[in-house]
Amino acid sequence: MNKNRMIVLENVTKSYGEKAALQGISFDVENGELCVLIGPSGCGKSTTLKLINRMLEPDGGEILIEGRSVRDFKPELLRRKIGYVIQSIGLFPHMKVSQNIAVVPSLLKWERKRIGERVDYLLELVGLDPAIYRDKYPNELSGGEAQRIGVARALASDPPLLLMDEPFGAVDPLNREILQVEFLKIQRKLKKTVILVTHDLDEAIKLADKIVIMDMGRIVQIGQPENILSKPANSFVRNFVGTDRAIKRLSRFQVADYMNRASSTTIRRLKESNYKEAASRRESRFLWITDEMGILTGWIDFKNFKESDRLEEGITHVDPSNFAVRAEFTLKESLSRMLSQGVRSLPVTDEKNRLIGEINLSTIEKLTELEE
Amino acid sequence: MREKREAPDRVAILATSTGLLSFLFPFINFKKNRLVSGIPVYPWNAGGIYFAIPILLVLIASLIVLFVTRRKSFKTYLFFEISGSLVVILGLINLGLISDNLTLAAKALSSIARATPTTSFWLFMLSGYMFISTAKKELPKIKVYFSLSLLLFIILLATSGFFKHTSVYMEYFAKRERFLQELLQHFYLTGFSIGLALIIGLPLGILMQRSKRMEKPVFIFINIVQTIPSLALFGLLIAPLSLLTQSFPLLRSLGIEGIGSAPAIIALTLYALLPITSNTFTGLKVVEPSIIEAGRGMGMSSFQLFAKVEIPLAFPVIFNGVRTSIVQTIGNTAVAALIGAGGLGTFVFQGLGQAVSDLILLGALPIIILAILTDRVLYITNRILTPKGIKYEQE
Repeated sequence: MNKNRMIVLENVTKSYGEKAALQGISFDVENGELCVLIGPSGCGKSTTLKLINRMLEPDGGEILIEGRSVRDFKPELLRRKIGYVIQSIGLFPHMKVSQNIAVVPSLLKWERKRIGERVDYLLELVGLDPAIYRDKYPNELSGGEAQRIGVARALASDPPLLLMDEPFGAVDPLNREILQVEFLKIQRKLKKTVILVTHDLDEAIKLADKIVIMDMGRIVQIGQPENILSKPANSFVRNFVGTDRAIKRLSRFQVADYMNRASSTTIRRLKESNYKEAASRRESRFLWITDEMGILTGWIDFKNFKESDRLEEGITHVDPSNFAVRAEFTLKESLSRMLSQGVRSLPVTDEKNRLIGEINLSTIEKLTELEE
Repeated sequence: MREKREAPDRVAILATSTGLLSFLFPFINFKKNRLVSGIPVYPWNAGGIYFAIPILLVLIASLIVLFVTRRKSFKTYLFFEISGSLVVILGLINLGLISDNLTLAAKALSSIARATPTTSFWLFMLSGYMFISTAKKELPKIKVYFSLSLLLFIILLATSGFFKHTSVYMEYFAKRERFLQELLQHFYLTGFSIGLALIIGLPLGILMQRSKRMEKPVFIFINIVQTIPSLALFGLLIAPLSLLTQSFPLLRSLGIEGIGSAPAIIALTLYALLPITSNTFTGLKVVEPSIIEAGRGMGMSSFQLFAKVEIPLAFPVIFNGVRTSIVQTIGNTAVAALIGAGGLGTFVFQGLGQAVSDLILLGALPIIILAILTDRVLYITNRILTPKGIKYEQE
């Protein structure tokens, strides 16, 4: 058996009375993997999640965590080793934030000092100032803050496994995006094994290492987000991922992996040189222009620039923070910037607006060609 | 630009008109002894003018404030709070003063002459109470200090013998040993019944919330009990209890009889059950399922969940049920006197039997004061004990 497999589900079945909720579910999740269960409501994704920490008991099949059956553990003891986040968060309103986070460590009888340090560490991890938030009550928190506390609470005893049932479902769209990005950052740092249930495909594509698509108690397709979008297994998945799957797929790719070397010159050198010299430096239609520090200031488009024109007229000046993309942006964001600016090529800059490369529409086009 | 005028506070209107209306009625009924019908004395008679006029002025000032104020503010309610307290204080002083004057003047005639407070006095007290209760909505913090100092003042007046010539005080003085005894008996009956009701009611409420099967039958039972008139319930218990003690003489040696404390406590306990049980049930039931799920998901055992989450969250509702139950039982205990259980009701029923209103008051007044006092004290206790962070609107 593969040692890396944190969770294994083997032919798990579950029914509520006459109604079969799960009809033989098998999949596994590797150590440190973020696995998203997705599907229309009633597909059995939440049921699957609740079977793992024994909030529900299966009718048949086997669930293994680190090679041991969940039935070997007392439910309460099992759950204390698994972080659990639910959509409605369910913070205890009569307890302070610090007490809420400390629930599981207290159940595990940690020392007070250790609990206090852990609470502060977790608050900082989720981006909340411990001095401000430690003593607040849940009714003094915004939805986004409560959600962060919910995540902190689930991570309290540093469990290797995290179960999340629509964790961002109750937050408004704007905050949801922020929380998703922050959660990814935390996840990259902590490398937990996460099983997350959602019905939001964009969320799944953004977060998942692996997606499990379910329908009517069965698994329809398992795979990396890129593969599911490029090769839907059947018409159900094709409909589920939607006609814009080609564009959705782009959010899986980062600019850093697809940018090209940019041809550029500094503004001083450009002024000292002539058209011919400038033109010889370009490798494409565009020549990016930077200052001495390497900070992007504009570009020359050689399509509209003739040898006879004055140099100053050919330069388009730009504000790099608005115009350029960053290496960590997704190709989806790059494409949308290209379309809104009406250009076929965008400069890529670092956090100090220094030019580090360019991303081209043709590269993106190649990636959107789907195998039907 | 003219600001739109707010409607005046309706309770304050009622309080003012009640206060003004009370000048039309006699303030004291002056009797040569406790049985003869007396002569009516108005608030301004027999030297009362010095306090009747200030009361009138306070009420007229309230009237003006009511109809001049465009926008009710903190100050408006502070004014009502002060007006209410003044009406109560001045009314009480007037009562003591007039009864002193009358009795002194009548000393020559009879040493058992007495002044019974009547319509006008009670209306003043009602008026003051209404002012204070409407002000309470807007002055939650100040209210406590005001009420406490007012209460302290009244207690001081009463214990200093200021009312020694009023009829109720004379009845009390004549029966002071008996009064203390019945007061303690009243406490005993109420306390015992509440204790039993807690022992039975709390688990019953928890049981109802845990088991769907128990919910309906328990509710039906405690609701039926609640619909039986208290007098009938007391009567109904006499027969089975005497039968029981006849068959098991041992019980009699324990003090259980068809009449007396035993049936009273049983009946009072049954009445006290409903608020405790139903509030325990409701309090636990309204705990959000997501909170329970989160607790379970984190690995709390059902007992830990119950003790650390469900009970603290349900606490204010449960405590409120206990408060209602206690206040209600203090009143209900009065009826227990009918089956020989004693308590302050003894004076009420004696008074009814002999048509002596002063004696009725001797029983009724302490019951009312006890009930109001207990209610307030428990209300504040609940506020203090309720875990911070729970937004919970009481009353």
